[in-house]
Amino acid sequence: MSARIGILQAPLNFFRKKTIYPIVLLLFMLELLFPIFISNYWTLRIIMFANLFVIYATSFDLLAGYTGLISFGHSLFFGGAGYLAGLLSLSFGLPLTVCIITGCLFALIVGLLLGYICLRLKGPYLAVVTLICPLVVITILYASPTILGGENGIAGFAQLAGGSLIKQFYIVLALTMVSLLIILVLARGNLGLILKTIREDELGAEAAGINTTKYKLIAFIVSGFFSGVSGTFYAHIMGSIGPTMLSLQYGMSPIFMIYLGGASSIIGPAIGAYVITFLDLYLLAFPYMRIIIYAAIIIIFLRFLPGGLMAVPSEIGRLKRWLS
Amino acid sequence: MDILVNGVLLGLGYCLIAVGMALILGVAKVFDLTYAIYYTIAPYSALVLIRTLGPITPVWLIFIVSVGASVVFALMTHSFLILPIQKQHVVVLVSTIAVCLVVQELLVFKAGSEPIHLPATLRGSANILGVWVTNQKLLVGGVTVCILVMLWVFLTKTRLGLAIRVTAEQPEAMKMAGGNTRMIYLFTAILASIVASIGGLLLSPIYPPHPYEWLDLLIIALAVMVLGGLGNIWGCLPAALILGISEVAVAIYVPFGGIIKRTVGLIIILLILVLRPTGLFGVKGWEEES
Repeated sequence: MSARIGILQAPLNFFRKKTIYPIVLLLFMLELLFPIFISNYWTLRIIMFANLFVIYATSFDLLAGYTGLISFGHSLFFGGAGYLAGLLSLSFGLPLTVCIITGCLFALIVGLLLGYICLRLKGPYLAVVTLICPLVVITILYASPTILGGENGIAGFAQLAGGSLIKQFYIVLALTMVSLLIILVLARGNLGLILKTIREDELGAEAAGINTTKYKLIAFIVSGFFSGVSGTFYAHIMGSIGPTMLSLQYGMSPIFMIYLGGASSIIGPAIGAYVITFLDLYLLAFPYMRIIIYAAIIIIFLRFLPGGLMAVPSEIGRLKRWLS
Repeated sequence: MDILVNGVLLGLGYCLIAVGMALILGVAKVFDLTYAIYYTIAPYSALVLIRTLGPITPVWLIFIVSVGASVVFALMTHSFLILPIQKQHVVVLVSTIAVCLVVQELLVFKAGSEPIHLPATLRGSANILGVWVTNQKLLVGGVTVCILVMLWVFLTKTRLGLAIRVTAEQPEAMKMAGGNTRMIYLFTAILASIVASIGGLLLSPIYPPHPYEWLDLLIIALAVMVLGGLGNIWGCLPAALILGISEVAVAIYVPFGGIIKRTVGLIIILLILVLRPTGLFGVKGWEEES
């Protein structure tokens, strides 16, 4: 496994250097201008959701790509935080900021718990355990239709910024910029290096004096927190939330995004999030083909281009060398 | 008594679901989740056959065609997708889940998301220790026991069974001894798909299959395997019986039991994997290899 993920490292030197920060900032500055040029309601909305999924996918990358702990149940953080925020808002009428902060903190605590449970597990076992956790929560939801909404979920709680799209767009944009920069700094700094060391050789990391337990928990907590951020904002933008947000579909989507963009590169998953969200838009016309096309894409990528889109330039270089 | 008889029969059904998975995941150590699809494909191909040939299609023909369809699917996924990436367990896991999703959506597209209903292989019911159960459930129980015995004989007494076990333990040693590991992996997949499709056909009149069934099946199979100990086929039977009896008990005694009983398997997997990764009857040290 470790050999394989070694290949998955983004081989693009251009993105490795510090130049990445100005580029990311520049792209976000460009997005600031979008509401001026794009008057179409739905296009703006899709871009906003793409930004939320950027947070979701990059936070997942910190856990799956960097630390190598591939969790199939990241929807637990995404949906769990969203559910809590929605419930607080609907049942107790708490102000929106309180709901969102509580939801995010809840995701953080869940991350701590799940990380503690999964400390000893790795590879497929971790995947199985994390696959199961959201399913347990979904069954609990189904079993209590009165309080937790059952199969229909809960709807009708407060929307972010009173439902005004432009305000929502800018809030989400600022949020994405801050989260992405925090995750980038963490992943490219000391923490990312330590997490990669743990992924490649846990025993070796321990021998080098790294407290692997602590850093694995940190990976779970940070990843869970940012997934919770995206989940709560998603719920409060939609104004409704259902068990689907905890389902395998949302658990698999960050996996699709990171493998499409290129795992353990942060920028790759962000690109993947954009690509998949926009594919979603164009595939709305063929509802049955959506998952088929995603799955087919991901199978092809895993099989033939394990580095994802980030590896395309180096693959082309290799092809050129091979031809000459 | 009610709980015991129904639980044992349910458990035998679960055992039939899990045994093929135990073979492919436990013995061959390939994390192939398309196993659940082998199981689902059989009743759907039987449905197609019944629709084209009419209701008087002989049972043996249905069995041969559906098992054949499932074997072809197993061969295709294994030779084109799983064998080249077999060493990376997590990559296999992700891509097999993707395959499952593809098949699920294709089935929804072609046959609708409603459960399909197949006629029972055996009609009528019988009285077992004062509890009335359908003959189909008894048939499932009998077939499960037969399959377990046949697998046991095959794995321990024949040279091919020995080869499968050696390949799982040390593929390099098998290659050095001149064995064709590729063929052996394919053979294991064929064996698992035969078991799975027989299970799918026999259980489909009791639990109508639907396109989203694979996740439930996977969870049942994983729960049974993890409880019995990964890599240990013989742990399947007691583990499946425990799961079956406890699910029936939960369904009867706990409020909202009909919904909550599905979490029994999930919670079993969680607890066992976290607290005692070797399972109840597990082989020690298995989990450390991967």
